[in-house]
Amino acid sequence: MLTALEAVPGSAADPGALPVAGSPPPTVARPDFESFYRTNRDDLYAYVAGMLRDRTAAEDVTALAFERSFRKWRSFDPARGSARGWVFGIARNAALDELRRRGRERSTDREVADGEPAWGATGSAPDGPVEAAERREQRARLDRAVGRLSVADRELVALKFHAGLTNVEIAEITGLSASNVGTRLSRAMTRLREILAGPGEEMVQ
Amino acid sequence: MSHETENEHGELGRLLTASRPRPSEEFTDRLDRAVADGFPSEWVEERPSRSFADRLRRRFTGHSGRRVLLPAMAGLCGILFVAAVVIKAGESTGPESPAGPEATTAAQQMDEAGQGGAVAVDKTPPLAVSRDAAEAADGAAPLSVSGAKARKVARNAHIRLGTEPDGVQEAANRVVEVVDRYHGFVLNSDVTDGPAGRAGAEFALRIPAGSLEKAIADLSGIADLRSRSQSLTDITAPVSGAEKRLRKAGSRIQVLMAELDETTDPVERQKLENRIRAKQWIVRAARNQLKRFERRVDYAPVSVTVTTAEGDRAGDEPSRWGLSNALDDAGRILGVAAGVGVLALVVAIPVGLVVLIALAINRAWVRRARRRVLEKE
Repeated sequence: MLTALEAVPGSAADPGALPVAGSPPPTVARPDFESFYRTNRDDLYAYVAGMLRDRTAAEDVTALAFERSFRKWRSFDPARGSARGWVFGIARNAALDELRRRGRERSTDREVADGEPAWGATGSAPDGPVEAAERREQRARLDRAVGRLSVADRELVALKFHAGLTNVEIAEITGLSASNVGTRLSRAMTRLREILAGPGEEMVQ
Repeated sequence: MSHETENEHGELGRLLTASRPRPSEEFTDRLDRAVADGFPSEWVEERPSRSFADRLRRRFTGHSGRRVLLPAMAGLCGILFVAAVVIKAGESTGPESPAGPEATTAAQQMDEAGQGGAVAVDKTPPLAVSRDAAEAADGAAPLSVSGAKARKVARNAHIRLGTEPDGVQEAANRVVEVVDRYHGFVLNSDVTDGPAGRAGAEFALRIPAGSLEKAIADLSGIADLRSRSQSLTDITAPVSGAEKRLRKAGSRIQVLMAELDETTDPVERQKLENRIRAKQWIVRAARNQLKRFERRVDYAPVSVTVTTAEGDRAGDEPSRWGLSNALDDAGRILGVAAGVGVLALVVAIPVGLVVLIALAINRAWVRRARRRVLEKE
């Protein structure tokens, strides 16, 4: 199962990604901030938006995370961890503070009025009108289901499937062990599947 | 977990990945520009503040905040430091007179004696009294000790005058005039011509004690008064001692003379004559000493110095200011600076500890609050 979860299509190449266990020692070289930003901008936004489920807040938190990391870029020590994990950690703290600030879950269960997720447009291939409508409906249901997950589960789902991080990277950000991340992620997916199969929702296949 | 469930998770994962949120073009354009420009101050100021801590941080660490806060803090520290140095320097040098701390102490004793109506000259050690030129210029009351007439008090004074090189001779003439006016005499004088700093005059005067105050006032007005000091010495005890020795020796001589009249033995007479001569020598010595005391009481030694050195003002005597003074001043300033530093540390260390503890508590509280957000279902 963990192997299946690791293989996430669409994950971005990461110049500051964590080394896999057993690999040679990491090269202690700080990547250029701008190239790092270009590589990780969409992933970071996807993670924050998936967690906060609010476009404006996600943009603010993403910008804040990049701004803070830019300010501290020179003091960042690559030997202590990956740049990607570091910036995601900054974004995570900012997102949790944002959730805390706005009364936590008050606005995370926002209903999607027009079938478009509240946290932004999704990338989708052009379809016919019927297929597009079905796809929108399907994503709206998925969005509602994700919104009913706990913050911790939603964070893991966002890190894994929206940001495309590996379990090792998620472990670095969340402070969990990699195996624990896999276990929790599996539970979160099971819960999501149960929500989708529950009353009022149609199982997504 | 079954293979079927794994596949279901994989399918769901693919769907989640396909529906991942994407930022708007407007936002990415704006952020791209900010990154390319290095997050300029305009960006920071335009970005909405999400929390009180963020607003506070921005206020104090932002570009505009630093522009105001850092100079303000530096200025405040500088003002505090300078104020502390000035206050400490004033405390350490202010009350001292040019004549030194001993004179100050004596002056204080004199003041106390005057206030209490007592006479400070009862004390055996010489009583030195010094008054600087400023006090003299203010028209302070002339130095006098009540009861001095009942006791034997020797006075002396030192006056330091400043003038131009071509005014030295004129000042010297006027000094002599004052001495003549009060029936004193010039014991010694030395007048030197030359450029500023070299030209000057030195006078050793004897002024009748009864006219001393007036004479000092007149001498002080001859030229620019730089400094003036007076001292009193109670010589009652040594005068009494000399008188006692005189009386005793006189009585003894009378006794010895009587014995000499009655003695016929030449050897014994020789012994008595020797003893009488010794006593007569004591009598002469005591009389001379009493005469000296009388002169000392009747005529006060007054030394007058006329100087042409520039900047030789009362209170800062650069002619006597040298390397040791510079080292003393430097040491004092360093000491004051060190004291200020220690005081600053005394204040800063507890404040810093409180701030550190507050930061640690805040950090722990924030972490706990974040964990609670994650634990919330």
